[in-house]
Amino acid sequence: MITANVFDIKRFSINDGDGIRTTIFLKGCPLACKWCQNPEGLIPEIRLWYAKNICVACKSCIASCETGALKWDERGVAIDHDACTRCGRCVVACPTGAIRFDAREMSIEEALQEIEKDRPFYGTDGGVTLSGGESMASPAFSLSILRACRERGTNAQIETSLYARPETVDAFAEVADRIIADIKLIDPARHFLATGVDNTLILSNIRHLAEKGTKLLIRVPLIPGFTDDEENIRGIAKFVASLGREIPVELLNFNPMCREKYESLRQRYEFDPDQREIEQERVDALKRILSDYGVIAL
Amino acid sequence: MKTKLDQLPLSNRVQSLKQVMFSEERFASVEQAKIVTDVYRAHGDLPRNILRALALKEALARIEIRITEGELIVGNRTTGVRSGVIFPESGLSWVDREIETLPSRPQDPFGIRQEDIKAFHEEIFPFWKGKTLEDILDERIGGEMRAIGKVAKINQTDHAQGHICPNTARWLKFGPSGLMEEAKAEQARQPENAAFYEGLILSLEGACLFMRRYAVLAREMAATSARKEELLEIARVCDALSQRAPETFREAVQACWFLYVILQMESNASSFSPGRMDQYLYPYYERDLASGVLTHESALELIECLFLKFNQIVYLRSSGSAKYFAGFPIGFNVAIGGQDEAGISAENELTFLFLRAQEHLLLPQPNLSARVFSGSSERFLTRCSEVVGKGSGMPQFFNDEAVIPALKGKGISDEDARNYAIVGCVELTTMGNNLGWSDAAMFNLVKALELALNDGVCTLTGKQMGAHTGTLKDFANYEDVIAALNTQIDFFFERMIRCCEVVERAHAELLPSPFLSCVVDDCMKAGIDVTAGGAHYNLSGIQAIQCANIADSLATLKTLVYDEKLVDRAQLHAALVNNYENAELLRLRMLNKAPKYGNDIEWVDAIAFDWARDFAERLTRFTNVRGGPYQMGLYTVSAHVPMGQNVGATPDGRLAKEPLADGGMSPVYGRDAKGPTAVLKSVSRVKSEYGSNGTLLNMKFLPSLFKTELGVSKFVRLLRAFIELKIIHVQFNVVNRDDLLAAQKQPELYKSLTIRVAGYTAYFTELAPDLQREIIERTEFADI
Repeated sequence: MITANVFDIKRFSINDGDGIRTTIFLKGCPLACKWCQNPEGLIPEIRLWYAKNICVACKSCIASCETGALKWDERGVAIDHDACTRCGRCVVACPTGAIRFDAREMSIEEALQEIEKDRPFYGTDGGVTLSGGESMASPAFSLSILRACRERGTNAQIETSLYARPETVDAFAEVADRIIADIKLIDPARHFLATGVDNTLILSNIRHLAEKGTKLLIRVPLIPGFTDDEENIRGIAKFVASLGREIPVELLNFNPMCREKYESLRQRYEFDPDQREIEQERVDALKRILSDYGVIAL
Repeated sequence: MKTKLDQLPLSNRVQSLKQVMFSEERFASVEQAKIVTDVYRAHGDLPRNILRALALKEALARIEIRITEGELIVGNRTTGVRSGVIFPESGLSWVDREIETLPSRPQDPFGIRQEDIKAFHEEIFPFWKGKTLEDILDERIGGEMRAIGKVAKINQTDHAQGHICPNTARWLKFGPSGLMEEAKAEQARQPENAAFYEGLILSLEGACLFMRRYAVLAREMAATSARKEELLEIARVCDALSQRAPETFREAVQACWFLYVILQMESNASSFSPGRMDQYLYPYYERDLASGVLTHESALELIECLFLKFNQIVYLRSSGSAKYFAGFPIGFNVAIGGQDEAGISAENELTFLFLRAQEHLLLPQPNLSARVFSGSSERFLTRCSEVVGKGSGMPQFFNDEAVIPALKGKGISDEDARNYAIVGCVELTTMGNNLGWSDAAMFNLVKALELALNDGVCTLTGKQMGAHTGTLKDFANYEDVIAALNTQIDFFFERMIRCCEVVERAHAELLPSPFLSCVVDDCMKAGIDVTAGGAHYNLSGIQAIQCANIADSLATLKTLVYDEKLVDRAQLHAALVNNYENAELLRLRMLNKAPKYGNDIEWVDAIAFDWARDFAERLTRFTNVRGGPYQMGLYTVSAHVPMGQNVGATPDGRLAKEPLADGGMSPVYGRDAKGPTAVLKSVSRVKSEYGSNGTLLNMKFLPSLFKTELGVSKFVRLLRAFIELKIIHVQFNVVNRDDLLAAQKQPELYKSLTIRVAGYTAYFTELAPDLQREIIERTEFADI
């Protein structure tokens, strides 16, 4: 049976494509962007998750653990993922839900049931968005969902890094109603340093899709100190202008709210804790660069 | 897509009238009470309906009147704006207790003059002692009402009947003089009912007199005023209305207002609703616009003058009642849009002018209700959404697709059902021919559950209150819990109905309403007072409170105690009796580790529906004293707070005395974790056909959604789904800073506030405090 590890299903998504959507977040990503706002989605496997802000420090989880994978320290519950057998005793023991699994293995059928739930809200433009992690990293699952949606007349889109083999990209382009692709950095070296991969494949996939006429939206996350410089935006503008098609580009402002996730994961957060969104003025200036190159800026 | 109508400016006149209105101090008034007392003292032996008509006429003739600078629409029942009227016939005991503390009470204070306190204690109160509705009911069933009151709260015991939508169209068609002719003709035809018609005629004479007095006053003022022409026009309008039916839009608006003022003077009741004003005012509007005597601007100004007037009559409540219904809502409920009797969209230019007026004024009254259905235009839904985004919580939405079938299920004709309106906050009614008695009682199912789990003993007081059903310890199966709850409901149900019958009879005996009977069909024809069953439709509404808590409690019991067996029932029983003292982890488990209503979980939502349906079906076994059916409502307005104070700890992790779910259909605060679409799906499972008395769903949104056209269009899509899901009612509160500050203090209540970011979502309450603060700081209505 084809399954995927789903780390969240957000209904009433209104910023991930057209209309009202249900966004399904799949675990596993070939990139490792230093600013990832869903760091729990990077690795494909299901793990324990600890939400410190709702923990009441009862330590029931630690008492219930038979492998010693959980310990208490000054930052709350520390999880030794290597020692953890994912038996779930601590999840049952926790009275608040602060200790939980970070994802759930779902079959295609189960995912489709979730998608169906909001059918009355989709109208003609709303529907489902596969996100992640990387939706193309679970191709069998994602493609099945997209095909089933097409059969049912549900608009289905994907959010992707497009870091995938061209055949995979082609298969997705066949069945997705729109592909929402990121260009994070135009310079290959900077891209490699910030995300762990080269962007040549990504850009060639975008060019390929543009030539095919696939419905595309390009997104640029504005990450302070990483992607928000004029040079980068200018490079992206030039690239998009060179595609020879009107492809809109959306600038996505930095989202500081993922900070807590890094705290929960006890991973390094690349930013000053007080780093906030980029001021609208600057975003507008960057948008103007796009417009200067004749690119539709959202 | 905004048209000129949607962008008309706010006039200076309306702006300054609004300012003046709110700068004036609010007082409690005994003026009418003194007049009424005089009449009862002098004519106490007359039949009650004549006595009431005389008292009304006397008040209309004698009460001091005023015309405020700049006003175009005139009339009020006191010279002070927003005065609280002390109304002796229905009940004075709370006034006696609280008159001195009116200015200092925390909720809805009113000033009171020393001489009025003296008049109250010396002239008014002693005369009425033992004679008011409240005193007489206390004598007849006070003990029984107290015995069942924590479960079944009987209402309408200390005020006259409101929550009525009079036949304003008929009032406009005939005017008081035309109605008087009709009453005289009927009197000649039905000599056996001569006294009834005598009352009608007296009250209509009073109405004409009242209008003439305003004409006289306006003319007097014109002699020395800079706005002489305006005052002479007011005088002309008022004179005309005292003699004939209105002919112009301006006259019609003024006539409407006189009607509601006089109804309030007769009954001092909560809510006489104008209903579908955009429909019955439209012919006047259309004609005047065509002839050129009216412009869009002048029409909007008149509507806004009327909107201000709706805020000038407030309802003085006891401090206890003010807690239940904060902000002295008086329930001038105006319904706009919807469909006509043929099922075609009834939207017209007035519909949009009413929305513009709401957008301009953002005042608590009128209670503006948008009727929506599958045929509603995109423009209408969009404009409604834009106005909602301004943060007044209005318009609220009523769904024709759900309401019309629900009403027809209660024997309402197709034509009347399609022409429905709303009274009070959310109660459904037909227009102009209905005494819906929509708040006969409130049945606290959650209290019944508390008793069911504890052998009928109240866990707050230790008193035996209900039936002996054993305790949770004894219930080996989930089915035992169900059976015990049913037994407790049965224990109170019929006793509640019997009390309601006594209350309704007392109203007919003590508070016949001749003026109201002139404008509620078929009283005039039948020769029967509205309180005695003269209306075409005679319903009584009883509220089932609160299905969300019942679903949460039973789903939690079933999951953790009976299915997963993670919680021991003896241990839980002890925790419930002791309000979870020393059992916080157990409480957290009950709260967090079992499914709850509002998350689109079919079997949990089905529990809410089962109990609602059973309750509605229980009601069908009874007929009210006016010969009509009982029907169920699912709303509390703000009574979820005081009603929660009567209920001990519950299995859903709720502590004793904590509020119940708000609204009536809403999930318990903070327990809906899947967003607004899941809430609407859950609510839709509590099927609308049983909520014919009205239902209430509150939803909260962040203002950012309404900031862009795209956001508004997504909101409109949500409305379309609401229509498709056949939910009766929804009201959207746009979250403001205060809400978010409260969320920071009590995050567990705001779990469902979702922050939407592309490719990412987080729950507000799982964010760190500094990030929460930022969102709060960003949330301001700077553009209002």
